[in-house]
Amino acid sequence: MGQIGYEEDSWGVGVSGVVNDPSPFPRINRLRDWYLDECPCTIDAERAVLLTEAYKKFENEPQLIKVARALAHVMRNVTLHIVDGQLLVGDSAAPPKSCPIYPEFSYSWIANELSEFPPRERPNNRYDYNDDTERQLLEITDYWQGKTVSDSILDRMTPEEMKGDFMGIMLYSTSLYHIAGVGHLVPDFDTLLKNGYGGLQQDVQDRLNALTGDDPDTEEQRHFYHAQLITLDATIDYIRRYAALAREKANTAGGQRRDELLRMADNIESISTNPPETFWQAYQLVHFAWSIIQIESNGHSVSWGRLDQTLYPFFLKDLAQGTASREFMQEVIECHAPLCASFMKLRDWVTTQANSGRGLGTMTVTLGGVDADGNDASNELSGMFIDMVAHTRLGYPWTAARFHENTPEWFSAKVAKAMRMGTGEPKIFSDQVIIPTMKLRGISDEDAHNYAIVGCVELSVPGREYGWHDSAYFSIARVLELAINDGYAIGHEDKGRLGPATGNLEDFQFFEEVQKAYEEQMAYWVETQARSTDIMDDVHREMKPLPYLSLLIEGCTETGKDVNTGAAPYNFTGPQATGVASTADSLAVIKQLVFEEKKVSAGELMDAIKSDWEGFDALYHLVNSDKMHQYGNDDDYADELAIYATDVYCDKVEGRPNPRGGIYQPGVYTVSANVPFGMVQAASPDGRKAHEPLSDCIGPVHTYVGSHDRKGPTAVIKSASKLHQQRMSNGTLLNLRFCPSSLCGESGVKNLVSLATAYFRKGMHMQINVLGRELLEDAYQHPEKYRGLMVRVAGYSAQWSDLSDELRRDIMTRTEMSFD
Amino acid sequence: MFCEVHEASGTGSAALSGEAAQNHIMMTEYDTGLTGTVFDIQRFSVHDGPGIRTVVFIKGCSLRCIWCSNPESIKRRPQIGIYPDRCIGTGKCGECLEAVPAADLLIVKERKVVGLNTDRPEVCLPCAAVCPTGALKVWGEKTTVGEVMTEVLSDRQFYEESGGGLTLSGGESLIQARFAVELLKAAHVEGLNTCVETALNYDAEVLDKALPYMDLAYCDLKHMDSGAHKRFTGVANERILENLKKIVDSGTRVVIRIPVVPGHNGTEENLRATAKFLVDDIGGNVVQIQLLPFRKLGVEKYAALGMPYPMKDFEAPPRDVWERDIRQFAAMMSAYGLNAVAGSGARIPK
Repeated sequence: MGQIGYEEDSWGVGVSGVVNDPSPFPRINRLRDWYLDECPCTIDAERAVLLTEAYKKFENEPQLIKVARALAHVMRNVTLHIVDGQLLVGDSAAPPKSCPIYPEFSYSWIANELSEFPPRERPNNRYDYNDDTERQLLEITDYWQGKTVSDSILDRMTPEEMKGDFMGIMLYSTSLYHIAGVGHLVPDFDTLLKNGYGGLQQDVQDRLNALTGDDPDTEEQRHFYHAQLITLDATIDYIRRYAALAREKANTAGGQRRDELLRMADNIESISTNPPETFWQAYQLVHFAWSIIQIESNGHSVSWGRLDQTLYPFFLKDLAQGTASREFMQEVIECHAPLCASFMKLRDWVTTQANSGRGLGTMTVTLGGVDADGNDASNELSGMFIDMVAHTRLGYPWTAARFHENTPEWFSAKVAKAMRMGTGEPKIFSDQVIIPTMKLRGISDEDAHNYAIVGCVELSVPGREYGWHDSAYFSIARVLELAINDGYAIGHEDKGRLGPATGNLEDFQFFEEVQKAYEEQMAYWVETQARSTDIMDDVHREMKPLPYLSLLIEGCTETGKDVNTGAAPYNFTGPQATGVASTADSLAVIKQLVFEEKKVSAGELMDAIKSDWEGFDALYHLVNSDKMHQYGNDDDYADELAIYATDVYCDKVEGRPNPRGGIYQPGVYTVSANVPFGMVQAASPDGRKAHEPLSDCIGPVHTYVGSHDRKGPTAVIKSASKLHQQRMSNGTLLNLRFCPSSLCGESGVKNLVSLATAYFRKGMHMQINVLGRELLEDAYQHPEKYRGLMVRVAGYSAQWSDLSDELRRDIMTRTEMSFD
Repeated sequence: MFCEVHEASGTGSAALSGEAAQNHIMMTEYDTGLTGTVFDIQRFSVHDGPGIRTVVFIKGCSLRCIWCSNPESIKRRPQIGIYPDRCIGTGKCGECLEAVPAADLLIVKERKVVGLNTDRPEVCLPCAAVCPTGALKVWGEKTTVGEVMTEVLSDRQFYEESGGGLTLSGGESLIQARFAVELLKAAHVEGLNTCVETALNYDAEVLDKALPYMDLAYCDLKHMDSGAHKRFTGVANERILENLKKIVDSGTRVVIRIPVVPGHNGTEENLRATAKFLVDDIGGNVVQIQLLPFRKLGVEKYAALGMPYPMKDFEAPPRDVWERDIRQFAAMMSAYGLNAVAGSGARIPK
């Protein structure tokens, strides 16, 4: 266990969450232990059962009314919980640390896994449940057959859309929104905090009353407002049930806790309809608003936006009026960590292996940055949220800090001190690059200045954007494979030619012909991927309207239209390129060895990758050696190819219209998709063996025999800075890893900030891992000893012991960016 | 920006072209064509001066410290290290055998390259150039001031943000005096901060030439007793101590570095003598004294070079012991009114 303190200079370096009692508040340490130790993670059937009852009962109602009544039925009947010692409440329609089930999105995989590979028997990410839960879940299987969002998407997809998707060779994967909700947004908390649920209700009622006419459009608006009112009624009742539960618990509690529960009951009762008066009430209301979005849909990355701005007036008011002390408000903020952490999402076993982790995913709080006028917006609350990160070390909620040219030193230093703990939090972003990038996509100056982070990486306008930010992962490394293999996927020749016939590498006389083939394949596959995605967009709109969420996204109530129809001011679709460095280094090998040095024939190189380098040992080592031009070394030869590879992708993606009246925008990052995408691909010319992960995000290639970056983090940063990140408006990510000794002391903080500031002239987003090799080796051997160790897996935070073997190995082969 | 080279000038002296540049010509001149031998350039170094730095390792040393952890730095000429474990075998590869000028120059055992059969390793450079696995590794590349500066300047943005710059190390960083001085001058012309790590064992004139371009000097003091100094490093210490006085007198900021080797120089007697010297003869005019732990580093490099490891029988104490000892020594030296610290990580006072 690391020796740490509560103050920022003694938070420790590289000790991550492997500490006891990191918070100065005993309550928080108890809640942390409760989360880490006390009860197992479970699966809960209540939401699924209630939802199914409602769907059956209201089967013949219009879809909008049906989904609203179903949500209301869940909220009115689901069992509620208040964790001992908590100051904040609001579950996920399941007990804490339990996964609610969302059968309306997809169900056959759940039924299959329950029977064939029960989640309670998984080797990791295991979930407990009793036989009764299993029976309840299996009982509804028949009802949902053919009725889910996923079933409809599959019905509408043609073989052409499937062959490249996850049900085919997985050149791209649209799986996320295929089997679950969309999420990836920041709700409009400001309006809610101003008007309360009562105010929203009045607004909707007034608009409904004002509707005249009986044409189909008006009738649809009427359904929509009815649906909103149904969910609002249920919301208010739901919140009041928590007030009643707090009172009930107060009856049996003693002393201080009794008073606390009574105050909580009063707070909750009041904000069920009224706007909040205090910081505590405001925070509680924000949590309710968020958690009900999660009950309505299991889309993840529903984020908190700029809470240091949203809650600041309440903070100041409490201080001025003496209604709460700084310490108490800090405690409230810290209470939110275990509450957020206890929201869980069941994922299928394959996805679990790839993404590893139980958490709902990336509910990010954005801190700092500039205000609408470009002035620094960081404040005391921004710092208190960073303190929360250090005092809880649970990985939830996620935090993102916005840096700009005038970020005050106290804030950047504090962020750096939190980053060097090694929990992977916070991640940092560049206003300087991101604001102009967003404006390039038609976002207004004011909205661009107010951006927040959703998900791991993505940029979004709070309350005004429905961005479908994680619509697909797309392997540009696979595109190159088909481009040098005449449209066939290596190892899948039996499936026939899948892409356009663009020739074999052996047929090409010039490197330019390789490029032409790559461009043709890219055009074909980007378009095919977009058609798949558009089908999903249509199905979500038709089958799963979101009347509750639509209360909290601008434009929906105003127009009487659901958020899925494109009612928000900004509508994007964002697929991510995967395998940037793998593609760049592969192109470099082809260009350098085959066409320039002519050291290897095209046939020989193709034979080598088709035979997984068996019998080509010298070539395998050569392409993995420093004798090649490789991305990540500030080497223009390779970096130009990385620019080329991503530009071709961006060319095809950007600006394509989507069904919500918006456009596609490219992102370039992998989260951890480089692992599953690598798993399904044959060997590649960059020196990757079959099934080995692709390169991570916009970082360099790391293969079993060596890392392709040899010059340390400044060179990696220089290479990444050359990419045209201003086009990659759905986000980019550069992960860097450091050993603890490199970040120690005052100079360690200063150097980390300098490194980030230099990157942020051209780069959008950076995250760091801080781990000593020794610690990592031991953690690999004995994951159970490291329950609190958190590792940033390429934009995805998870506990070490929950990571799959493959992912742990992937992390271990990354370069240690040692300062020594 | 880096200046372009005027080929016609022969020495490769650099200047901006065009009329506008005439005014800056004095400021921007340095000899980009001057050559030297460098065995490593390490970007993003943070323990060798303020901020983020690039360390250029100059090859060649005038000392022969028995605890040296960079054996590849000692000789001035290029050398080849052999790592038989990395060799995939002449059956699968054999690239070196095709590149070697004479077949008997490479020693091959059980189809793996295990050594060189020559005292002129440079003749085997073509073998290293084709080795795909790094089993043959070259230390020492003849390069120019211009080439080195191109690499150094690629991290300019990081120096700007962090207050970093160029550090010369070695070997003895001033052993290739003209080359080293030109690099320091180039760095100043380009507006970079400069640090020099030196053992001070050279003629005073070398120092005179380097001093104008040196913002901070890291000076090694290996032993106060000249006899012991000679035993452990191969040379006496009188000239070193004279040079230290000279550098301090010049007003250059100096950090003293002492590798603390238990049973050798890591004794209370020696460190007290060092403190006393620094106070009495130098007037305490050094900004910091860094006591660095000795660990058995570089063993594999000795093996790769076919050199015996001089400290092979030495048993290094465990971390908790040396950490405690070094802290105690630092406290002891600080009692003399000096700023002595454990390790290289402490902030250097302004």
